[in-house]
Formats: sequence, structure tokens, C-alpha cells
Amino acid sequence: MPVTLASTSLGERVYIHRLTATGTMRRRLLDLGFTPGNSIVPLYRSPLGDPTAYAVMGTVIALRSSDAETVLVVPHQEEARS
Amino acid sequence: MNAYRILLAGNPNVGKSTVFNALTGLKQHTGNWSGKTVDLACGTFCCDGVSVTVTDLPGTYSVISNSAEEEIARNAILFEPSDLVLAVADATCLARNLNLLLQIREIAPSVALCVNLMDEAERKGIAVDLAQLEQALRIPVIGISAHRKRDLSRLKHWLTHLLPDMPMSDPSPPFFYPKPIEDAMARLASYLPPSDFSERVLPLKALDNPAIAAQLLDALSIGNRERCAFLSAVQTERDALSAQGISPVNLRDMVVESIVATSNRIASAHTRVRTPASHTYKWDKILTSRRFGIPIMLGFLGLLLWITVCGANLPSQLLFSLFEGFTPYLSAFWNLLHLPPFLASLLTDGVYHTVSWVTAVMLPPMAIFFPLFYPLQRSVFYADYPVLPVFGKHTLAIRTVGGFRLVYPVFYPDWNRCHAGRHQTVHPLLFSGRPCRVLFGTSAVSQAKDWGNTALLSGRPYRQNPGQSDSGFRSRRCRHLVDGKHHGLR
Repeated sequence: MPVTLASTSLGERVYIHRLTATGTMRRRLLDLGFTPGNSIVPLYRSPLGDPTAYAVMGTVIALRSSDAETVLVVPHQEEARS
Repeated sequence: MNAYRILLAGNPNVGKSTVFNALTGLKQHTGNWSGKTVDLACGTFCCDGVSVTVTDLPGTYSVISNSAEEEIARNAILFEPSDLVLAVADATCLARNLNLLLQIREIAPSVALCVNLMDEAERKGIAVDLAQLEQALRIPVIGISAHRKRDLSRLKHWLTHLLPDMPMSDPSPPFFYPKPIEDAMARLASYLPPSDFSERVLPLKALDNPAIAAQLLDALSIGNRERCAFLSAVQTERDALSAQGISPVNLRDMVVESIVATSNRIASAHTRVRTPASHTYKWDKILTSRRFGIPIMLGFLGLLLWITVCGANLPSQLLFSLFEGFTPYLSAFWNLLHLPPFLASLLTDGVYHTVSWVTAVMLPPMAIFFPLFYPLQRSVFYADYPVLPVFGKHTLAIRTVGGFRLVYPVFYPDWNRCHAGRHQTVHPLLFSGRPCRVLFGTSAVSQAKDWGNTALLSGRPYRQNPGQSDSGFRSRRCRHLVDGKHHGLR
């Protein structure tokens, strides 16, 4: 069952299922490597809980939780593309 | 003398500008924040009897989307006449860089890859197999570390030997899109006269991005009738794809996905990663943790102050007694000048004593504190969490008020690879771009002023809508590219 990236806990590897963002933000996320099937590890969370840094394709990217909520993830790679 | 033109392309922060400066000897300002190169800088170098003009394109993650820099980079690659597009990539995150390379490979007839930061990758335990990469991508590949003089002259010679007999990149595509898209592209290609763009670029863009397709069609001198036939074919194919559930948005996603999947596959096949020592991460975690971060930093500063205070006592006393030693001579001097006693006392007990006392007290601590603090300030990484509560709101306010693209004050231990998702890369200006260990658990308050600079330096007008024209920050030199007044086909 896909959950949003914002709800994942730190250090837990997840796989991107799909993006619900639209327009510029969607393109931006795709460019940054948030593509279905790619793996993501939430690395650090700021003290107020927003934003959070994620390891994506060898890079650390920080997303606001409002943006992370538009990324749906699953715990196993096989489910990501279904 | 043979003259060639090359374009330098690459992700932000892979050392493109460094390579450019080293090649051309120009002093284009390099900086550790992304989107640095908004202007298209040109420079020329001569080597082995060959003259090469290098154009530095803005750093982008892709040339598919529509941000201003991407548009500039893409139009330059498509329409500027050039002999070679040299893609600069970061060896430490090759997959990400290959993503752009593959996109460039698709729109440029001849491409070479320069993998930069090889030494840093090595330090991080990443080994890139250049020979295999060359085979997989079917383009010339060289690996360098751009800060080494030796490597740069190697790059120069490599380029000058490559350029005269630069083979066109293998025309067969390095990857394929999902079948329905490929089929539609093949059908569309049959409408077009042969050219660099006809095979894949133009059909794909026609399906995905009509605006660029129109520019490409302009460049491709075809008659009105053929153009109309092509455009109606495009409409038919788009409808057919939509009927198969591939809407324009889906199409773009599928295109991007296939490219990312290919770059992931190639990168993982030809790089070996030794798992980094986990103790770095652990230390970073402890030093930046909410519980220990600030106490450790305060403890550190306390230690520094303690060394300063205690260490300064002895030199202070010595200095003071030295100054005291001069008092008799000073009194003798006043006597010699026949100064009235009250004036002599004013000068000796007042001015001289005060000055010598202040000097004796102040000078040694400063002489100890600053040399100790300076290297810390230079080399140490000021992480992290404690910055946010202080500056978070402030910067968010700037973002909404100024309409400026802004560096978020979100810093994480791996400085070099820190990005803010929404707009651009976050990079600390304060550090020289090397991966740093955490020493201080937090940012010193004195760095507040640097935050202002960070925001200002990276604050370029941020365009929400790429269609709007804002010529303010683009140079005249590259505006013609954006406006689509190109030089025709190569």
C-alpha cells in the first residue's frame, strides 16, 4: 500500500511508486531523480520536522513535507512499478 | 590553424566553470552554488596547433524541462553550431549526471564525457570504470580531477586530438522509450527530410513539447505543405497515444523514467561503491543531534576561551612588566623637556599607563584566540540543525517577499551534495566545497551575516512561468538563443 514520503521514518529505504504533484513541481521532482522505481532513504529531519533530507541517486535532497506528501512510496521495489 | 567550437554542459556543481577557466585561462567566477552560470561565457584556447572556442552552458539537471537555464542550455546545444558537446559529470554521483548526458546525447550529434572529481570519488570509495563507460555510452570518455593542473593539460591534449577526427556519436540511440512512443516517433520521422534532428529529437519533441518542435521545424527548412502534413500527423499520434492512456503528462513521465532508468543501469553497472565507513555518519549524527550538538559546540568554544584566557596570563604579565620597565626612562625624558609635574603625571600615569595596560591585557588573548579560531572557522563545517529555528522563518519570509530564488538554510552533513528540492542546490558558501567532517555541532552566530550573503548571491529572479520574458538577468549574448533566433543547422 503506497504511503507518502513525508510519513516514512528516517533511515528506512523506500521506493517511489508515483508522484501526485503536477506542473513545475512534478517536472522538478522528476529532474531531481524522484522517478518511479527509484530508491530513497530519508536521512535527516530538521528539529521542527520540516524539511527532511532524502538520499536520492547519490545526492541529498531536502524537501518540505508539503512537497514530500506528493511523493507516494512503497517499501519494496517490486511493488513500485505496479 | 583548425578552429573548433565546443560547448561545456553538465549538472550544477560538477566543476564545469573550473574546467572552463582552466581550459581558456579566463577568470569566470566559479562558485559553490548552483545556477552560477546564467550567462554563456566564451573563451578560446590553442593547443597542438588547434584553436578551440569553449562556451560554458548553465548547469542543469535536465534539458527536457522548461526552466530558464535549461532552455538556454538546450537551445545552445540544439542551435549553436558546435563541433562537440563536452558533458562534464561528477564521478561521485554518476547516475544523476548520466541522466543529463543521455538527454544531451539524444539532441547533440557529437558528445564526449569528461568525468570530473575522480579523486573525490576515490576518497568516497567509488571506482568508475571509464573504459566500460566508454563502451556502454559509445562516446569518448575521460576522467579528471579539475583542480589538478596535470589533469587539465591532459584534458586539453585529449580534446585537441579528439576534435580533428571526432567521430559522430553512434547514431543508434543509447536507450529506447516505451514501445508505443517509439512507434509513434518512427512514424513521424518518415515525414521529415533527413537531418540531425529528424530521427528522434524532432518526433519526440513534437509529441512532448510543441514549442521546441516548432523551433526545430523552422531550423529544418521544409516546405509549408510538408510542415502541415507533419503537424497533422503529430496530432494524430498524440490522439492515438492518449487513446492508449498515454496523455501528454504521462508521456513526459515515461520519457523521463526511461532516461533515469537507463542512467541508473549504466551507472550501477560501471561503478563500484565501497560502503563508506559508518563512523562518519555516526559522528555527524552525534555532533548534530539536538541533545549533544549545542553542548559540544559550547564546550569547544569554552575550551578555546579557556586556552585563550589561561594562556594569555603569562604573556600579559611579561608585557606589563616590560612596559613598566620603561616608566623611569619616560619620567627622565619629561624632566629633560622641563614639563610641569602635572603634565608629566598626566602623560605617564594617565596616557602611557592606560595604553600599556590595555595593550598588555588585550594583545596576548587576541594573538592566541584568532589564530586558534581562524582555522576552525575556515575548515570546520558548521552544521546543521540549530540553524533552522533561528533562520528558518527569516529565510522563508525572504522567499515570499522578494520573489527570489533562495538558498534554504537546511544544511546536512554531506555538504557537497546538499540540495533543496524545490528550487536549487543548497551549497554552503563558507566552505571550499570539500566534504567536511562536523566539528561544531551548530552554526556560530557570527555566520548570520553570511546567510544574508548566501541569499543575495544566489538570489536570481525566480521565474514561475518560463513563458514570461524577463530579459533582466540574461545576457544579450544568450538571449537570441532563448528567443529562438538561431544560426540554423550545423
